[in-house]
Amino acid sequence: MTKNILIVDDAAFMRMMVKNILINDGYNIVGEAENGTKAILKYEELSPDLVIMDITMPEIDGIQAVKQIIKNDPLAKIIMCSAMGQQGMVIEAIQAGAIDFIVKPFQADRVIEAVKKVIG
Amino acid sequence: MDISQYLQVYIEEASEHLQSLNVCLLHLEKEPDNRLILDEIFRSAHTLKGNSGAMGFKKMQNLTHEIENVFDAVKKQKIVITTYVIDILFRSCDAIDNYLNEIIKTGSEGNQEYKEIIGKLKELSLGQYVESNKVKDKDIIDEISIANIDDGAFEYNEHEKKVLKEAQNMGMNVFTCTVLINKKCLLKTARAYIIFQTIERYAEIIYTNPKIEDIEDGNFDFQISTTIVSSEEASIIEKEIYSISEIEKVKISKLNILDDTLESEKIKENNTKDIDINNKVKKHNKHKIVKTVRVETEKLDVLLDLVSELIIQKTRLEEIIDMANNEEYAESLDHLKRVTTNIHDAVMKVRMVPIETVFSRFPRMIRDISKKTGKDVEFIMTGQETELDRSVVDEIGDPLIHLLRNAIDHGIETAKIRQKLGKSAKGKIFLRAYQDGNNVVIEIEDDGNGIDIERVREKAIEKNPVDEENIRKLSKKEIIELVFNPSFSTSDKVTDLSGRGVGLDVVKTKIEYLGGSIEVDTIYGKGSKFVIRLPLTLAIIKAMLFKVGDEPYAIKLSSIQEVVLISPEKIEKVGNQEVIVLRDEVIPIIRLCEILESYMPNSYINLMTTIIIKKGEKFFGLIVDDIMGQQEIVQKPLGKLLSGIEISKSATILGDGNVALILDVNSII
Repeated sequence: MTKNILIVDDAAFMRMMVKNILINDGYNIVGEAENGTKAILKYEELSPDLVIMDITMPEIDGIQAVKQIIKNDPLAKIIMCSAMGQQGMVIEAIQAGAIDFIVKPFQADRVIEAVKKVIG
Repeated sequence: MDISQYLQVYIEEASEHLQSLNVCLLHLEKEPDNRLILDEIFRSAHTLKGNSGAMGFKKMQNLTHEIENVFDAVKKQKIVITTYVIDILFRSCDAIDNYLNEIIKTGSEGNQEYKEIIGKLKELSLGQYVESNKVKDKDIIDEISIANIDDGAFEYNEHEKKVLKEAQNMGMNVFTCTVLINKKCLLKTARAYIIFQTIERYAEIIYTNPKIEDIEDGNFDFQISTTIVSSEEASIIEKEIYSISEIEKVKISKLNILDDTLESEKIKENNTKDIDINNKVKKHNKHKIVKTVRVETEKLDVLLDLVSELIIQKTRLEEIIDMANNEEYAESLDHLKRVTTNIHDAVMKVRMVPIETVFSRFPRMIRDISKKTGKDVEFIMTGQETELDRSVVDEIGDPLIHLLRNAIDHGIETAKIRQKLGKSAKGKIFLRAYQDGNNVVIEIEDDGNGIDIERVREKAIEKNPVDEENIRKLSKKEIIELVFNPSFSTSDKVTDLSGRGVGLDVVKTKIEYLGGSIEVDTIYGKGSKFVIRLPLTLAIIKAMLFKVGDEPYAIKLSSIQEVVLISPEKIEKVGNQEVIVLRDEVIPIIRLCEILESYMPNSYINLMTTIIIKKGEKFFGLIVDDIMGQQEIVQKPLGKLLSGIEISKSATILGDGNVALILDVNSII
């Protein structure tokens, strides 16, 4: 069964890159969002199998969004995208309920590995 | 009895035998029925076994014993040599290599068991191998690459011991759990956090190595060892940890902490009492017995430094004695000159090492890569006996590996394509080393598809659209030079072997750092040839001294073709460049006084002294003011403060105490 993924990042370029990597490996991108608020709404609407979310975003940032999404759905699976210097925030996101993280710039095989481990 | 004195000899001999095993296996692959090679391998394995046993290295002994058994079975014709068999044997050699490295580092074999490989060896020797068994190469590879889980990492304090003992008494499981994080992980601490979070769902963590604070600060390599207490089974915890990304390996073992003989230090295998020392170590009968002495490289460096100083003083004396005009002095000086030259040559020879030490690992590497990329390659090496200074040898390995990988990855086409093109299905890669004057030349040549000049040109235009017109005018040689630019790769796919576009410029930088140069020639469709030139002698060189203006300068004699006198009328102009015609060739000339901004006070110029420089196949002329003569000089690097000067990287102190800059001809044109 095809797995549905929601991609959240304020940079359209980033969303496109992740989308391409995932589509190439057979996943379905069920939606995109460019900030935390929209992410929470889209999650309600689409109930994706997995969310891939950037940590730093305008409006509500990644960590707040994780907290809210997990509150609404404790079984939500979220993978955070971070840059090199954001180790502290990554740990905060994991504490808030995110399940894994990937570091920018992305290696396609690393993204696929992380997604596979979470939703297969 | 103390066997540590034999450790050094053991290591040297074991390394030699290992090298022999690798070389023989490569031959065996091509000639599976060659009895001589079989005997050689059997002998090497047998000797290794004996030596290892004598030193108390039981694991090594066991492994080599199994290898010996396999060859026994081969000799008795119970099994046939196939690629599968060769692969297992190569993996066994890697295991021996790992043991050896551990012994070199710590004096003991370490704790790796390599059960998988030993199992497969046993299977082979008992003739139980069935052709249809698919090799789980991944398992074996995993075993080898994870040789670095350090098992000796557990040292508990009193409190921790007490807690662990209580837990075990209550019937709980006590485990040691070591996790190896993938070395490519960029945020180790975050990864460690997830690991701990996961473990804590099933167990309590009593002890960690490194300490939690160190892990939080990122002060750890990629291994985290813990001791945990849990009511769950090890397999469940192991499975959960493996479900985390970027985990390379997990090792969970039950710990019986109530057993009083628990030692927290690493057990040194070679302290066991029942060692029977066999003093007669068998010598490998192919190599002639050469008496050697181990010398620290630093001592050699000091020696070379002193010789350099000696030569400077000799040159000084030459000057003084010249002026004194004394027969006796001059004679003595002559002797001194001869002796210093001899000492210099002798010291340089001591530092010289045959390039074979670098080349020897290549055949095996090429074999592995060609298997990995599915390309059929014949690898021909010549000139391994060519000698190089040992510091150069240490550094030249990496660039060569990169070039060889490039040749297979990007150069040689697949057998199918080659056949379509009318080429032989097997690609050829040549690695040649030879001496040429004052240089050692290393060539890497392949008969693959060469470099697509036009593609490089297009790429260059892509990156610099402004220069399109000029780029179109560049000659083939100039376009080829571009491949050495950073961020220049014409490969569409980034393979993990090479091709990220950062390779060739790093290679060039490294080679230039060693005082050498690299050039490439290519014919699209036919192949490429990389030519690396490295200087033989580092510090002391023969040079031509000359004056520009009032100042002395020097240029390496090996770069100089000849010195001519030219009259000013013969100078012509081609575009903006001044040239002369020398024996039918047009040679650009450069007035050094302009570049160095050092002018002669009087402007009466009759015939101009011109040094003709040879750079590869090109020539150019440097106009100077006076030739001082040829001399052996000591090259001293200019040092960090002056490192920005393009035209000169080193200088020398002349006999009269003045400093002469040594000009780098590569930077003039």
